[in-house]
Amino acid sequence: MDHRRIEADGKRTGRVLRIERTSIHDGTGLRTVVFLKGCPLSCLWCSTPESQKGRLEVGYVADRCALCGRCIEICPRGALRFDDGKSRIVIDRERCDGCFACVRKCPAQALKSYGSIMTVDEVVREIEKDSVFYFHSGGGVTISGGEPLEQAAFVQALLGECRKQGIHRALETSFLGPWEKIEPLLPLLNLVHTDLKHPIPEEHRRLTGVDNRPILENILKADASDHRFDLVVRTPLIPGINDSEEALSKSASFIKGLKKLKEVEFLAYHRLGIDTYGHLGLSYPLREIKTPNLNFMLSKARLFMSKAPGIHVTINGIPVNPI
Amino acid sequence: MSQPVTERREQTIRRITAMKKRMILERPTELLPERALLVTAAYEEHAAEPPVMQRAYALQKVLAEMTLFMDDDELFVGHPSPRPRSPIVCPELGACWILDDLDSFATRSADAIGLTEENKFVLRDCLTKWRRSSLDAVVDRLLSEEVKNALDEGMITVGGRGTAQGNISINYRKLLAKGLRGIIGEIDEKLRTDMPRDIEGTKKRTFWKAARISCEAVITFAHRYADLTARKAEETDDARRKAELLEMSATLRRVPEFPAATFREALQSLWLVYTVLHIEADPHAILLGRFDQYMYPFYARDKAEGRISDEDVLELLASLWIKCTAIIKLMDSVTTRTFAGFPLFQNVTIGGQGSHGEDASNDLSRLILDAAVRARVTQPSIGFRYHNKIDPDMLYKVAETIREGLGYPAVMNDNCIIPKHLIRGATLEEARNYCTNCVETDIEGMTDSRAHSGYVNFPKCLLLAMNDGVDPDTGRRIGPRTGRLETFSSFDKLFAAYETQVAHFTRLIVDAYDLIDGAHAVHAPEPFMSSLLDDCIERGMTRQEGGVRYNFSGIFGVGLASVADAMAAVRKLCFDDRSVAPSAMMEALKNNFQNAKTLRNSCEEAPKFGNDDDYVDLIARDAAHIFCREVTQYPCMRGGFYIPELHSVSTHVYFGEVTGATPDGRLKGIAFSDGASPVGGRDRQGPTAAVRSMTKIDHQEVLQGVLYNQKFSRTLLKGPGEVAAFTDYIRTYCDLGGHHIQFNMISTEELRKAQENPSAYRDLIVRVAGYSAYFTELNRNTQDEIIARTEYEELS
Repeated sequence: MDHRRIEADGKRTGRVLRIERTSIHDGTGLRTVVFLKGCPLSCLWCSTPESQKGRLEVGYVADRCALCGRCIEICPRGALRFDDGKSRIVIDRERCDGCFACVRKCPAQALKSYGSIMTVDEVVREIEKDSVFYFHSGGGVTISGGEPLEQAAFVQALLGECRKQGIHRALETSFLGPWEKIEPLLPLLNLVHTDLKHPIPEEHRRLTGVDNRPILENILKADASDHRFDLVVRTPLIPGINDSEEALSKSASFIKGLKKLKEVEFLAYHRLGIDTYGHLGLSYPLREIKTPNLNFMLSKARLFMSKAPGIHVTINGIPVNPI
Repeated sequence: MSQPVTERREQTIRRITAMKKRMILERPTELLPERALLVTAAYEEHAAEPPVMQRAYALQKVLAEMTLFMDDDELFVGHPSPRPRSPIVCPELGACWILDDLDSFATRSADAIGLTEENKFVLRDCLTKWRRSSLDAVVDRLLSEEVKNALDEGMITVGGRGTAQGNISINYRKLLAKGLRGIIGEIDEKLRTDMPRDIEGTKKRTFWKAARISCEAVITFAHRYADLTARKAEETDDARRKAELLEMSATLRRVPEFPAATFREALQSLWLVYTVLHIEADPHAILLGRFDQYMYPFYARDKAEGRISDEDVLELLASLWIKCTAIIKLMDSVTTRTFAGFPLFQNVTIGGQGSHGEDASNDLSRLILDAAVRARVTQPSIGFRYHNKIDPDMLYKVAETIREGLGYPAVMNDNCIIPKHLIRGATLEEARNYCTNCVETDIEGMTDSRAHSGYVNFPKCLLLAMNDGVDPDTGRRIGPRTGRLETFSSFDKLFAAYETQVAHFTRLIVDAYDLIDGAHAVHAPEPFMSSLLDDCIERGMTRQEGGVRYNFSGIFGVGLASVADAMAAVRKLCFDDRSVAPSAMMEALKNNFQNAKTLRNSCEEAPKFGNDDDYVDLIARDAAHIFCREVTQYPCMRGGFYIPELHSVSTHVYFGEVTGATPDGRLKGIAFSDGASPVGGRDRQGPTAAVRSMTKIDHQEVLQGVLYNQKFSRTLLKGPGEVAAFTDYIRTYCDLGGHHIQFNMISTEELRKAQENPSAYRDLIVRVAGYSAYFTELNRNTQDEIIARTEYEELS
């Protein structure tokens, strides 16, 4: 991934947050996960806030900063300055266009780049590096976000290229987007991961900023399509936020009807992304919530299973025995 | 007769726990002079004999008179010294260095060994007699000033200077099939029929006689133990123990003298002999070979005929692990600093192929893994031989055992290693019967490959190459004149200078080790071990003289990733980008990067090995290649030739300590990369990228082996799906031609330790919400969060 500054044309080039190799939690086998930038949701518990904005962003780690001011000098847009006490750098995020000249110049690695512009070929070249690992493990590529539908044409081109190379393809999507963008992707996919963050529309809006009705509609439509892919529905469990009996049973009744469903996965809430908020000059939107322990997760999973018997359930990838 | 399963299992646990407690956990180390005194007396009694006879008489005297150790719960016996965790002293090999270290054994910070004032006095008196005649005294007189300078400067190390060299497996099959009486029969046959009337013939007959004396002495030793167990049987009131002791006594009357008939007899036979190999010369790394192969017929027959249960076997094997760990070796203070934890490098091989290339893994292989987990001690480690036809369940079990975090089994790749033995001259059937050391591999019972003959300090060779053969840190000229960095017109010129330095120091090791090899042949023959190695009896030569079928000497290259990173930084900054003047680089290195923070940052930002980046990976490949080419051109004294290995044990720490700052941004004194692995923490693209970098090195040409040590978080292996993915990962490493891979599992306990003691865990990397970070650089809250999460995942 280089940092060449070329305009993303939305098809042959895209805005990639990062490419992570050797993932075992985003589909079958050993996988390469391509995280894209930009997401229409803003979930309160989001652990990758650096993926939310579509444009490239600069992160600032104040503890490391030597306050040398080189970044201020080099910025072609004049987007950086010292704060009043000259104790840290302030970034004008409206002005910053993500050229990353400051990141390259910083001698203390206090500035970091979130995202880069990459062509389909460049991404495929990265993916192919691990193709030897897909063979025994049945792994492949997973396109994730942000929200991949924000760059649907790029994703389509990418998936098409991977299909040509015989690479197993998975997509992680919220399914929030126009059906015209979703439909062309479906024949290219072997596996789809989607989220059910909260089944009740008002609650969903409060927690993520958007209505869940178009999402649920798209899930049903995709499920009813003729395309042959497996569907995994995930719910990040946030104690006291979306773990009520009512929420779980409503989710269960929705999920029960899905034909392509392979499993339901509950993900334990964690606060590991908390530092990144600071690097972006944001504050963490959730109050202090304790990371749930295994027993808590098991009790919620069992509650769900009692409402949706016969469905295969995992917690952070670990299968839960049927009741 | 048969007990309920749970009761039987509890009995095993009780026995194992008690033995482990008495023989290891609660046993203080202690240095005792017994062997030193007996050997000295034997040499005095036989002063006029040739060395090989003196050695045989010394062994005979020790075996006849030494204090026998036996634990109350043991089911088979034998220990090389009067007590567990009491190393023996070999004055004939290392009198000088032992004398030098005598005052520090009890007080040194790593691996201290208790020594009473009285014993110290006795030892000093005894060792002083050897000051001119011990092996290390002889070697010291032989080595040239040039070699000694290179040793002082930490450019090289040379092995075998004051100790016997191991990394060898005897022919266990033959021992168990023929017994020592059968071996004596072979010797007598040679003495009767092979009578060349020249000096060679005289030497042969002397060796045969010495071997015969040694084998008889071992039979006597077994009978002493038979008497001891019989006596203990009389003394005990416990009916079950009495029965055990009587059976042991009867076994010791039969083996190792005669062929073993049962699993228990086979185990007693090989263990007593194993013990004697230590008593004879105390080399490190006496291998247990392909235990699951040569023991399997005994196991299968006993099992079929109802003589033994799997629980019985587990109990015996767990005891074997404890008995191995109870043996420790006396090492000098410098060595113990880098080899802390009393490693003896014992090794058991499992899995692999049979003589027709079929999968050889069996039920005994699985029991060995179970026993190791049950015993939970450090020795012996296990080498698992992977190949394409391996039973998938076996591989899965290996992965599960790795998850236990014992640091073993290591995975050895038949696909890469069998061809190496063909290149080294073996037949296909022999090659398929190789067994493992820690990284090296040898054909069981017929190879003497002298691992650790010497180590080369790669990064320091680069510093000399940049500075006309002068150590920039000390200003001393120690290498050939190859020009200065400022005068090189291209990176290729620098690489050529580096090649010259590596060639020079490789040759210095060969010069030195040939002399040491010769000194071992004259002064330190091992008639007993030789009698159990093919083809020493046939050829009438000890292993030190080259009696073994396949002979090699191994030279280790240290700091491959460090030197590749350093060269990549110079290439990028001084030649490709031209952003740093060569003189500025030299100045910064000389000053250990003081006042050169920006330059050091640039150095650290340059491409690093382990991230699937050809820019640096191909430099590593080329550096490995030229080293292999240099090493393999030299014949060795015993026949055969020198072979290369990319493995450092702990020498990368020592070499790092004595080397100034390097262009990869490493400060003076910091350890180099381990084995051929990336520099700790610099592989930031995940394990698959690291594996791709690792396998750009041509493992095939590194004839003695390539070590890859990878740190893995236990959370990555939490469920069955993850373990299966892990086996796929291992398969892929082997597909790509890797020689060896082993895994360190990072547990929550270790993460806590890292919080308390960050400086010892600087290279520990964890994944945090999609990015990797140095654990010790995270703030406390995030660290706690990661620990909580790791624990949570370990519960499952």
